[in-house]
Amino acid sequence: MYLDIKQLAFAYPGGAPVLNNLHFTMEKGEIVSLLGPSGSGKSTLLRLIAGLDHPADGSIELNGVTLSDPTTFVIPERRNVGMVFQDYALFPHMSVFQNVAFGLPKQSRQEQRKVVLELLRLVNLEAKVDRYPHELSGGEQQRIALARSLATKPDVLLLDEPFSNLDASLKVTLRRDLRRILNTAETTCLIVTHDEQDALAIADRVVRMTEGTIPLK
Amino acid sequence: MRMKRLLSKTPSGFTIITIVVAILILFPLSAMFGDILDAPSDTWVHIRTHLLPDYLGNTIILIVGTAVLAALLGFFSAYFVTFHDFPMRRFFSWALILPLALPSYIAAYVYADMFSYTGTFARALRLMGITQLVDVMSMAGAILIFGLTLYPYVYLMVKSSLQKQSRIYLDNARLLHAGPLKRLMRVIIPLTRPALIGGTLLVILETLNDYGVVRYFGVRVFSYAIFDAWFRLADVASAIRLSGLMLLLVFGIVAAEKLLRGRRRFQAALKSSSIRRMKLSVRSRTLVIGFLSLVLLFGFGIPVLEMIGNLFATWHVLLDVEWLYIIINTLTITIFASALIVFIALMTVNAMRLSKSRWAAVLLKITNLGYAIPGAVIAIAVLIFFVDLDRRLGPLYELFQNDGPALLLTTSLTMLVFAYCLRFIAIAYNSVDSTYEKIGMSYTEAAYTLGHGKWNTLWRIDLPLIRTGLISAFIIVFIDVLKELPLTLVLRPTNYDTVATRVFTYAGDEMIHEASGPSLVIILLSAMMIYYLTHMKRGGKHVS
Repeated sequence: MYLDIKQLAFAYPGGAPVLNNLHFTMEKGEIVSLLGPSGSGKSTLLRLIAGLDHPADGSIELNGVTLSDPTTFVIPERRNVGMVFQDYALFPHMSVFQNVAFGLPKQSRQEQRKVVLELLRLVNLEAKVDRYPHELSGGEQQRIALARSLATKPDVLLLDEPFSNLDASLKVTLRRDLRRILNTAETTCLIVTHDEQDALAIADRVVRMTEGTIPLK
Repeated sequence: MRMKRLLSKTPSGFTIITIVVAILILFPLSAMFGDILDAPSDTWVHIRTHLLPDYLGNTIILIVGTAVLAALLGFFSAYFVTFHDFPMRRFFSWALILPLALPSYIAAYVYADMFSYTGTFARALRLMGITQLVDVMSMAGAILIFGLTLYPYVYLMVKSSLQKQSRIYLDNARLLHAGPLKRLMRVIIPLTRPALIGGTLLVILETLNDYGVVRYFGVRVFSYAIFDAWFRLADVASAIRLSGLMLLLVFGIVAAEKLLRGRRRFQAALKSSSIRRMKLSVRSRTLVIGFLSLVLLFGFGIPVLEMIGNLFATWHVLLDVEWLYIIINTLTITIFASALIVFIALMTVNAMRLSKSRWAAVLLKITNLGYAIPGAVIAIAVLIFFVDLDRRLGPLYELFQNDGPALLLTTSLTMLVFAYCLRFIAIAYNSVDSTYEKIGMSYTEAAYTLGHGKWNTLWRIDLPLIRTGLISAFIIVFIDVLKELPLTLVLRPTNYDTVATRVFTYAGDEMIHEASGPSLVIILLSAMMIYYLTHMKRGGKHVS
């Protein structure tokens, strides 16, 4: 398995368990939607895969490397996991170019420019390269955030509620765009959503989550 | 819509009070600068050719040195306390503000004493075989003392900016492979820059305002020069000219700050999730705790302990009735002035809130100008203004009392309280304004639609909601007034002393040990207020 999660458990200090005995796998190149009501632990699962929280138990393996188990914990900056946050979190003090280039390895300015422009072409926003985040619409910000995450060529890309902050009337176009971008980039991608139609429209496979676990079929 | 129009058309009581205050503040300053147009005196020619280059050079060295030191200390202590986890973190988080309770000039007197031949440090150094005396009464000493006692302005602003910074940016940077150093340099510092610069500006303004430290250490900067021209050379016209130049410098600095932070406007408007603090290795933990302890010890602990030590030999001073009077004087005028200032700020904020006109914005800028103006300049302006006022009102005084004092206002406390207002309204304004911003307009507007008048709404709706904000505004102003030296020194009535002025006199008479008790009284009082300020419940129980 490409992404292999076993027996994963998580609880906030002194709180009830958020995730419990969760098993989940993904193939390389797969696009999977994780569907569940709010509070079911979907976002927590993403944060654990990204390494932003420490699991209480269980293991996470990605591309043959153990990221996390009771004795190992790889810090987020070494995991090569990409994540697009619900509110995108574009760095407000950096231009679109600087945002996308942030995660690129050290290389000449020219090469950097080439890579960034290529990514912006992918998300159809080449024209906005010198803008600042506050000058962009919500949908544009999301696509820039996507380009920024793709820049590091992550082993897996995590999307947290990609449509929650966007205008509902644009949804159909946005879904199509996202699907196209993900296909072109050939990324393995895990998308969290609470909207069944979003889930079905984008993903190859839909996984349902309830009360901190994924029921076996 | 209809209501809004109604509100802005009728000038409310708030607006009227604001206008009166703005005029009162603007008038003395503009009146003073009218005098600059007079022909220069011979003394001025002397000052300009022989002394001015030095004054200017020294002032710049002093503020640049202090700004750099305070920015470094303030930024790094805020950074460690906000993003890292180590033993005593909670304690440091509020204790690092304590140096604000210690007036810079008192720190200067105590350190100078400790480094003098018979002082604690010099003796300790001799025990270690070092006989060379460290000259703390110098430019370098002044920079160290200002940096160590004023860095909390930077600390406070940077800390609150860091706490508002969403954790998401940092998480995101990590996922984009950025290590701790890259996160600090590329994300944390740029996002905090406005706060860092704003805090440093406050430090610079406080440094320019000081008269106690530079006088005692003989560092010839602008405030020194102004008082020197005024009192030693008895040349008010030259003092006014120096004030004009100093104001140019101040406004240059304020403009530079606007320029530095105004170019890119952004706000970290994301939902903030709580900061997760990084666990530190034992080695870095020791380094961090060591750094913070040193800052706190030199900025507060050592001078206070030294004064407590001095108290053992001079404790009888506290039983002296004269000191008792002075302490009561100090508290009375400080409480009165602070309450008045907070009241005026409340009026100004409301005037602003209710009419978003340009007019109001201009008035506001004027009333808030005071904080940037150094005490020496305000002192001259206010004194000239009041002497003039008394002359004009002379005939009026005659009506009531035939041979009464000719300078009724000038010899009363009115002048001093007026000057405090001029200087400190901006601080209270900002504090009250930010509290109002948190509750928004909707409660107030709801009360209006339910048929309540402005004052009624202020009393029954606004005040309960912003109570804690008002208390913190009061405390902040209280501490500032309590420490204030240059204004009090010049504008107090004859034979009227506050702890600050008396400590200043004692330091001049080499009797600093005797001043330890009263100094400790005001320092510990301020320290307790800071403790209360940092530990009281934020926002009150009604506001989430």
